[in-house]
Amino acid sequence: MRFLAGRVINAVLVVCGVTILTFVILRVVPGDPARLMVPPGSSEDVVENIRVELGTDKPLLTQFVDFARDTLRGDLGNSFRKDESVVALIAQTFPNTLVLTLTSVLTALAVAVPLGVQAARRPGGVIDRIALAVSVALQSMPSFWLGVLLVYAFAVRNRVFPAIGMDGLGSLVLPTITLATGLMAVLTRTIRESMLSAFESDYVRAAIAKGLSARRITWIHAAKNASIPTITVLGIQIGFVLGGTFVVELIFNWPGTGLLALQAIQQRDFPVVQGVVMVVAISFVLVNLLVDVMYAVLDPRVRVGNRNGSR
Amino acid sequence: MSAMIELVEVVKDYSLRRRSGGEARLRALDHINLRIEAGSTFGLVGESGSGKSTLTKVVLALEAPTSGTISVAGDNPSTQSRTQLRAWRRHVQAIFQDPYASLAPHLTVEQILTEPRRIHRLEEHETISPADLLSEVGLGRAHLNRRSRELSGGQRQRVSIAQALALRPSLVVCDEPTSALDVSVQANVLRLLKTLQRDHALTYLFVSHDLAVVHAMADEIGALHQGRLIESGTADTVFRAPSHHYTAALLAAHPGLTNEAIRTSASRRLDIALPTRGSVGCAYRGQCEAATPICHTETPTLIPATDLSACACHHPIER
Amino acid sequence: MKSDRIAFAAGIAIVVPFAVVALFARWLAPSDPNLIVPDKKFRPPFWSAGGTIEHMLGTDQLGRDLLSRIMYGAQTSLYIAVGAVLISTTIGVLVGLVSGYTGGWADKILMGLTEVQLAFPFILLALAILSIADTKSPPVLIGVLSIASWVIYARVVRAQVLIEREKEYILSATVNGATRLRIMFRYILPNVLPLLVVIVLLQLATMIIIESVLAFVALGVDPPAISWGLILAEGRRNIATAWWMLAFPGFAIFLLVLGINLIADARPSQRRPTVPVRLLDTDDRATPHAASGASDSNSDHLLEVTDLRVRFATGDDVLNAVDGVSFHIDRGELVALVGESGSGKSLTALSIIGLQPPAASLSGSIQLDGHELVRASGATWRSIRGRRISMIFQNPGTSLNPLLKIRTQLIETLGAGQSKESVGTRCADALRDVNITDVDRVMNSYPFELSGGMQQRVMIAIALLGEPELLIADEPTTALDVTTQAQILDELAELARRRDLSVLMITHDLGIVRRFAERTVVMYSGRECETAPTRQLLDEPQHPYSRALVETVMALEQTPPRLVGIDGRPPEPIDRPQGCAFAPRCDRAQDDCTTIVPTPQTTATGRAACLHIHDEVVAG
Repeated sequence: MRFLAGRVINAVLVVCGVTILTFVILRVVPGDPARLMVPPGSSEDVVENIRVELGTDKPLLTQFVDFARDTLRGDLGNSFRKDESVVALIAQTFPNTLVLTLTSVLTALAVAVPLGVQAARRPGGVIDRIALAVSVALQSMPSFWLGVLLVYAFAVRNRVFPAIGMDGLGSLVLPTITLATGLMAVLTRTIRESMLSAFESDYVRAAIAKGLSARRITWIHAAKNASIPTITVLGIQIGFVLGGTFVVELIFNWPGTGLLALQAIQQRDFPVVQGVVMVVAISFVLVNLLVDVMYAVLDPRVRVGNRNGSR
Repeated sequence: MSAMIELVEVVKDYSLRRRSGGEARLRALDHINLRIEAGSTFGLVGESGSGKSTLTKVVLALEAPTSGTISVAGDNPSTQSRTQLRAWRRHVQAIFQDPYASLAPHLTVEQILTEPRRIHRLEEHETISPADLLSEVGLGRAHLNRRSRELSGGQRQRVSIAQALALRPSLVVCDEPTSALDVSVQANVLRLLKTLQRDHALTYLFVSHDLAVVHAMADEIGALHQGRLIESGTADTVFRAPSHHYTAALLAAHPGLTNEAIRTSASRRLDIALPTRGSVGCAYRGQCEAATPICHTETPTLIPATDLSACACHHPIER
Repeated sequence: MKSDRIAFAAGIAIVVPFAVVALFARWLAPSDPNLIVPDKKFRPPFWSAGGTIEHMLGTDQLGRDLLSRIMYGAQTSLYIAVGAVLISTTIGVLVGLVSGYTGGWADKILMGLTEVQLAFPFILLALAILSIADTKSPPVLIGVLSIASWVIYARVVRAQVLIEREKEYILSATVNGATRLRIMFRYILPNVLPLLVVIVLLQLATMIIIESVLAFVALGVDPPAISWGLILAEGRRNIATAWWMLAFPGFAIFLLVLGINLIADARPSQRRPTVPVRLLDTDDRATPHAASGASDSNSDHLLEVTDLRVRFATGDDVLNAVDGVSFHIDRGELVALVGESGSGKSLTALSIIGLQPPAASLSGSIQLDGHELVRASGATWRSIRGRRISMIFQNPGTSLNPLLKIRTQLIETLGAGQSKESVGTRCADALRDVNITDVDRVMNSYPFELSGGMQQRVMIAIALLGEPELLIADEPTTALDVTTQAQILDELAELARRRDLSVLMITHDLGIVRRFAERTVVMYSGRECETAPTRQLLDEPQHPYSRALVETVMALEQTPPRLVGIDGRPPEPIDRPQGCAFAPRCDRAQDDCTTIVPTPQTTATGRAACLHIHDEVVAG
């Protein structure tokens, strides 16, 4: 359990680091948000007024202290553009992003696991070749192109699924397919590789020598070991997905945090951007923490720590 | 004769950070006192965890001792400046166990053999040419352009030896140099080592888990157990009449080196798991049939057992 | 593998034209990509109605030629992606190298930094930065992309450096006096770079996609530079009118990324997966006990191996790794199979239990109690493995599944159909049989919690649970300490005697043979060399090779010790000489030894395969 405590502390530090970094970058990069919010040629007074309103006239350190203090109280500030608090905006949109991410991951897994395992059982066989070819192709497909194509094929040409907006289960289909495709390709290959690696290990050879059945060897011996590297990759990939939903949300007009952030960026709405970055970072860190927990559950060496060593 | 290696009360501790939290101190070397004369071969035996590799690392100045003093080839490497250390390294070389990992995989044999010269910024005429080095170890010029993956285990080991001797060191640490080789090839490499020792007046610190090999190569022997030197002396004495029960157990495991006397004195081994490393008392007391209460309360020190050997035991085997 | 090469070639065939187009867009593009011709807007591709060859892929909403725009898009894409990859690789490699090798505080800081950066939804921040930046020239984009991705290289390089750092050639370099700088750049770096190739390629693909995404959300390069993402965005706005504006630029991205992925996959160092045929013959369609019942022959040996050959076909070559071995094992007999590298002893052992590599083909005969095992069916093997023949391997630590408790690994050997109590008792008894006293603790342990000796004892217990008649032991004690080795060998011999169990011990160590085996088979270069009772083999070896081998080992132990080897070294199967494999190293070789392959003949003590074995006797 000390292992997990260490990871939690680590996670908190990382989130702090991300927050500070975001804050600094947003404030340090050239370009004054206040100026960008008013028509060009406005007088300096007008710009200064906006700055006071936004709070960007104060020295950097003060801004940061204020921000830190407010954050710890749960107040992420107010949107520069909309009349709502950042927390409220995020609360409205994050669940939508979560739903999309979750269904995508589950869909991807539902396909990748059986496919990857079967491909590894008979490498060079029919299923393996197809799985590999399809995976390489799907992995190469940019998700936003796929999304747009799907919209064209199923919403514009033939009205099968709704093209935009979040409106019932049907509207979840196209965005999920878009997000899940690349993930599925990567996962299939990862699972295949790690299962192959497990099949070639000493303990599988010994298990065969014991006379165990193929089913037991595949699912109890090989799969358990193969799930460790798979979970690692899954954690990283989920991170990519979380950070990249904005494109899919844009294409399908899905009201998630990604779309929120994109709009905020275009409108120079810094508190919102800051808030979204933090939320995404926290999610990523939580996902990795979950991965660490899974390691501890699966691998006794992580739980116990080498007490006696192998000699 | 001056000592090539002298260790006085050398201790080496490692701290391990456990994944489950907390730190543990692992005592790899426990007050080692050792003296190796120039021109001889000192065989170091011990099983895993005995501290053999740590000792070689300390002698080679790859690790610094936690406490104690060391003197190798006339200098104490822990107190030297970087330049002095580099100069010192010309005199102290090593051959390692794994012929597959001990040669840089991306360099040709010729490049490997010129590295020592380049490192010490010596001129070509001041050193021995790679072709000559190869012939000293029984290999032909044809190997100069090969990479290590094109050579057999025995050939790689020969190249390692050639590289070690490039700058004419006085001490060579041999860490299991033939353990990974075929039996029939092993003896040839050992013979080569013996010849080179004669020709170049070398001192060997020869580490091996294989008692037969140590028996064939060493003039003097030291046996390590859990970081302590529990017996030392001339090879003859220790092999024929070991005084420490652990040494006897090692020999008993080897039918060719055992005699009746050894077999009976090392008959039954106990198997009591005790955290003995680095603690007070004899580290072998969990396995030793002859253990008595004093073995638990007092750490034995290395004292003479015969004219030609010393052992650290409260109840050394009588002859 | 053929398909690897095809994939690689396909990848190159795709990427090279893109690179050429990117470099020479100015001369290759049919028209000016920014030339606005309002009259020609929304022309479809040339094969559709209304399309012209002049604008092969059609035009966009401003009448600009799509093909030209896509070509220039390639230029932008590759310029930015390659630039970003070059910069981030350089930074990442240097940082990873220094941090991995020197360790200490620099390393800790770096690791902390990478963790933060990895948690970063980088792309959001890139968007934010780019939205503020005054100009979005390619160098700006390269900069932003580089900052994000260097971390990946740093981590990968650092991980590899940590591994290389412990290798002996690095220790050797330190001992030689090399400075840290020299070691990092002359020794470690060249060995780390090859691994980077794949990562670099994959990152290149990623950068191309990210660049397009940024352009798609209008935060890519400023005009007049053209990006595929930008064209796609425009296409999306006109989705109902001009499908070609959507299809072609997207397809270009897809194709280029596919090409890069194909190249990245088809690296020559990639492990060629072997079909685990062994796994196939454990399929559940088996009906057990197919190999019991009346035997075909009336051999009274438990195991009879006759003229076994194990053949590998690699391309045009056919290698006989095992080239004609014959021996037998009787019930309750302890037999050793001794040989050096290239002897084929391991392969012979694996073949007896059907675990030879899938690429190997067997000929000859292996009979267990009269039942032929060469080319046995999966069903047969399922009834034999674990029940009539068991095997233990060299490294007990890796032969046990690290994630399962010992209890699980014991119980699963017994299969279904028995009560929980009896299973528990049988397992506990099995552990006690191998002198494990703390049975409960061991049952509840994981393999890594046990010492090497304990692990091997557990393996023996598992192997004997099914009450086999033959146990094959492949160098079971080589990875263990000397004293543990001796203990386990003695215990195994005792166990075998109690159960009337036959053991085939594979080893290279004559000491183990001496301690354990009643009879010994010596192999050399895939062939049988000599077979004799152990005592006699060691006292009066008949074959020149056995004689030399025994002498080498004994000489070390004599007082005074002698160093007697055999010149040369044992050949690999591919280098096997004509005639007698030992002839080049034999001091008694004659002319016919290099042309005729000797077959085993009877000798005073057993059998030996030497043309001149009886000449010795005559010569005295």
